[in-house]
Formats: sequence, structure tokens, C-alpha cells
Amino acid sequence: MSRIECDVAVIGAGPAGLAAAERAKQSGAGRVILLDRDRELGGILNQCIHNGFGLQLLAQELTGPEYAEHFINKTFDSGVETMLNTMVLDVTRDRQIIAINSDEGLMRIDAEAIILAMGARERNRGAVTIPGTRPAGVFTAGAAQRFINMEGYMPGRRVVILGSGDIGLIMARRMTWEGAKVEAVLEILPFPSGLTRNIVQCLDDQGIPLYLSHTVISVKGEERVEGVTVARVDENLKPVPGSEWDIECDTLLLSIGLIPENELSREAGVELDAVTGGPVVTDEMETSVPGIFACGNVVHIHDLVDNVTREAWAAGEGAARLVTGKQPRGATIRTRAGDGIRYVVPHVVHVQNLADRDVRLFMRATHPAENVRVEVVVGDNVLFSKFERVVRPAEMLALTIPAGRISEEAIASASLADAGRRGEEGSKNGPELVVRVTPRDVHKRGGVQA
Amino acid sequence: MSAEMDTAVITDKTKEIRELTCIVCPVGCSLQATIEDGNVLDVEGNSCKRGREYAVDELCAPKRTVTSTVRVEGGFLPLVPVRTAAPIPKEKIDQALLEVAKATLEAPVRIHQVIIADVAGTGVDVIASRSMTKTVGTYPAFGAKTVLVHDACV
Repeated sequence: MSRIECDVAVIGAGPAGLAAAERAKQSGAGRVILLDRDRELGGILNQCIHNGFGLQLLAQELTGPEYAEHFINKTFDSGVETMLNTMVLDVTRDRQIIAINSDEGLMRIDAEAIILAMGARERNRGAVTIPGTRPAGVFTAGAAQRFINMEGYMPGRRVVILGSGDIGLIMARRMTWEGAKVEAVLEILPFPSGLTRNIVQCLDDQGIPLYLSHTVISVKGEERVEGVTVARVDENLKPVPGSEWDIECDTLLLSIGLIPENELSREAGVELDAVTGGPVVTDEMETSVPGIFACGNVVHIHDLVDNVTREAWAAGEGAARLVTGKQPRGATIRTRAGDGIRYVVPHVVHVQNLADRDVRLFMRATHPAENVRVEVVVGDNVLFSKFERVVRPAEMLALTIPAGRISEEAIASASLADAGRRGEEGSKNGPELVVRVTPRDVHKRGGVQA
Repeated sequence: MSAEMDTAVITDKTKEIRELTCIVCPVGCSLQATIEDGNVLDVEGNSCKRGREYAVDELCAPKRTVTSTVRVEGGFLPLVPVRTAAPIPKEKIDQALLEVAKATLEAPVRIHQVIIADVAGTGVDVIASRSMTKTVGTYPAFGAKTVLVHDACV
């Protein structure tokens, strides 16, 4: 078995892996190796031929392949080495990677730091147990996207789409433009799960009906899908008897969510967050296993690639700081999702980093709200806040805390005040940075006078 | 959502307010445009100036960027993704898609190479969204074999 040594090994060459590898190299890491099981770099971006990528980061509206090529070129220019068609089989706690490809056979890679960037995979029919027969013609939206956009095959002519995730909405337009008839998009929840712009330009533009609070209750057909039975659901998401009807179709696409792909993370003993499905990470994007970092959809599902890239830069810089002996030391503080917030990434922040550099928190709202402040608090003391005109569960929030804005002293005095208010038991777990959503007017009354 | 687009509130004889969702960026602002005799008088709800431009375009002459694929001969992959270099009028989309469907290419292809000039008479070109080498190849980004230094092997 061949043995390779490197400073940083990055697993997965999608947007997260590309940006992390390049940034690690640029930030002083020596040998950086980027591994991917696919035949080329870029990951899923290569099949996302629609536009809308890079608006925030590059101030251009690019397609997925263009966004990928931009970062592929940067990665090569930086001197990162790549290994394609290479499958990683195992990652250990002491940062050993076992990988295999047809040129080298089995390999052992010893890395000072590993960055997990495996992305996510789609939930499939098994994940939602749709009753009915098991004919051909049921695809995840991403599989259909790869068939049409990269391989040149048309998966079907009359299509029903279950789930209003972005990939499903994008595929509704794509299949219409390729000559298929998309009969309907069904969403079990009372609100769409994809971006509003995709509802407008992918469904409304094409005249495709979106049925909210509806689902598929049966798939029909022997060799091939011949139709589906759909029904309205009640507030408990149970089909309402008598509301069902049949739609003739030859294809059912599923756009029902993504699951972070963490098999390798589990092998390495990385602690996972039950809410995000991904590793618990620090603001260096380091997991619970020292020297193993993670970024992108493997950590939590993003809706914008720009945020994946930003997060991957943090991971690349974090890994480079580890291998160059510049990791932040000293106290850390945990983050926690407060009112109106479902989760916060990262889970742990270095107090030293809050002083030295901008620290970016990513989070999702639990429900839609307008004219709110997203606040970072210790106890009841607001240490930082930002106004948001609208927050939606489908759209990830990014909060950048400027360097020096939250000082060690501020945290200490806030947590001391909090402990005093709540008595001794309050401070058992040490101070926490709680992120919460507050209506703007409430904040004005409380905050301005205080 | 589709109902929202069609909402027209008549405020007096000639003015009406149209509600629409901005699709310029993922923020998706809810816009209220006041129109009179087909002219947009005022736009509210936008958080940047592109929102106003979008509302005016959307109500007077809606445009979209079209993305698709073109067959490529001798390429590393069978298809090259393409897009219009700028948004084109909505009513020209079908014609543009027909022209794209008929086009073929030969590898190699460079990113942003013009595939169809002046598609559907719009004055806008269709351009390649990625580079495509002939086969597994010379351009390291695409189809690079494993890159290894053997002196590290034991």
C-alpha cells in the first residue's frame, strides 16, 4: 500500500473542498491534497447549469459550472494537488485516510489536518415511504438533473414533482424547457421550501401549479410509472380522506431535502449535531476530533453556494493555522439557538478570535418573520445585533460579528450579571452566546433606553 | 404565489398597484409597483436599486436568462452547458431554446466562447458556461488523472 504524507488532506472537491484546499494552501499549509471520487472537480455545481450562483461573493450571476471553474482555476494556481476518481474508504481519529483508485490501488494518507467536505445526498423514496408499486421512473431531482444536464438523457415526458426544494423547482423549469410536461409540484408543508425567486421563475413563469399542503399517497404502474395519487393533508400532515385525485405521469421526481453525508465523519468519531445532521464545529471549523475540520453541506445544508465558500475559507484558514502552529488558544464559548432560531453554526467560538477577526455565524429561523433583529446575547445582555427585513426558514441567515465587537470583558460581565440574576445554578455550564430573533420594536423599547 | 402575481388593486380610474416578488437575487423582496397606462410610476418594497429596475422590466418587458446544454463532439463529456450572455425577452425564450437544441459543437470549448450569436434575433449571444477538453486531458481541471508524487511512497 502506498503511503503519502501531507499537511492538509481535503475530502470532496465540490465548492466547499475547492475553497478550503485553496485557502489552506494560500494561508501557509505545505502540501495540500484534494481528493474526490468523481471524474472531475467541481462536484454538484457541474450539473447545476442554471444561473444565480455567486451573486453575493463575486457580484455576478453565474451558472454552477462557471462558479466551479472560477474556483477550480484558483485551486490549481495555488498549487493544490488533486486526486480524482479516488474513493476515501476510511478516516481515523489520528488523521489517517485510507483511499483507493485504479492507478495507485490502496493508499494510506497521513495528514496533519483533514478537512471533511463530502457534501450531502438527497433523501429518496425510502426516506418518506411512499406507498404503491415500485416501477421505473421515480428519481431524485438531482439524479434527473445529472441525466439531463451532463449525460444527455431525458428521464421522462410527463412529470410530477414531490417537494418544493430548490432542485425540484429548478428541474420543473429545466424539464419544461426540454419539452416535458410538468403536471404539478406538491409540497406537504403549508409553505414552499425553496427560494421565492425559484417559485416565480421556475413555476409561475412556466404555468406549473404548486399545491401546498399536498402529497403523493400512491405510485401506480408496473414496469414504468403510469400515474400518482395525490391528496391534501391536514395540519398533522395526514392525508384528508376524500381529497385524493389521480395525475397521469411517467415520472416522479423527489425534491424532499438533503442529508449531510457523514459516514466518514462517524468512522473518525466526530461528534454530530442532531439538528443539522453534521459535525459540531468551532469557529475554526474544527470538529470534536482535533485536526479534523469540516465545511459546506457536510456540516449543515446551505441554500447559497456563496455561504459554502465563505465557510470553506474559514475551514481552510483553520487547518492552515493548525499546521503552522498558530491555532487560537485560551477560552472558548458555546453558541446556542435561542427564540426563533433552529440552529447555529459554529457551535463553539474562540474568545480570542472574537477580538482578532470577523467571526461569522450561520443560522436558520424556525418560522417566517418580518422586521426583526437577530441578536447575540449572553444572559439578557445584547452584545451584537443586526436588523433583518425578513427571515425565512428556507433562507439561511449569516451574521458577521466584526473583530473586537464582542470582547472577553463584555462576555465576562454579561455572564456575571446573568449569574447574579439567576442565582448560582444559572452559570453551571459557563456562559453561552445565544442567538435569537426579536421583533424590532421590542428591541427599540428595551435597547435604546438601557 | 401565482395568485400574488395577478393581484391588481384598482386605486382609482387609471392607477393600479401590482404586487410582485423580486427575483434579481435570493433575498426575494416583495415589491409593490404603482402603474398607470402601462407605465410604472413608483416601486416600493425593494431594498436595492436593482429591485426597481426589475419591477419596471418585469411589468413592461419581462426578461430571463436562459440556460441549457449543447451537444459536443469529441469532448470529455457529451454536453456543454450554455447560457444567454444577458437576460432575453420572455417571449423569445421558446425560439432561443429551439436554436440551442439544433446547435452542435466540437471540443475543445473554452468558457464564455460564443456558441450562437444573436440568438432568436435578440442581439444577445449564447455562450458556453464551462470549458471542455477534447478527452481526458491536458487542461488539469478536467479529467486530470491522479496526481501523485511517488517519492512519498513506502
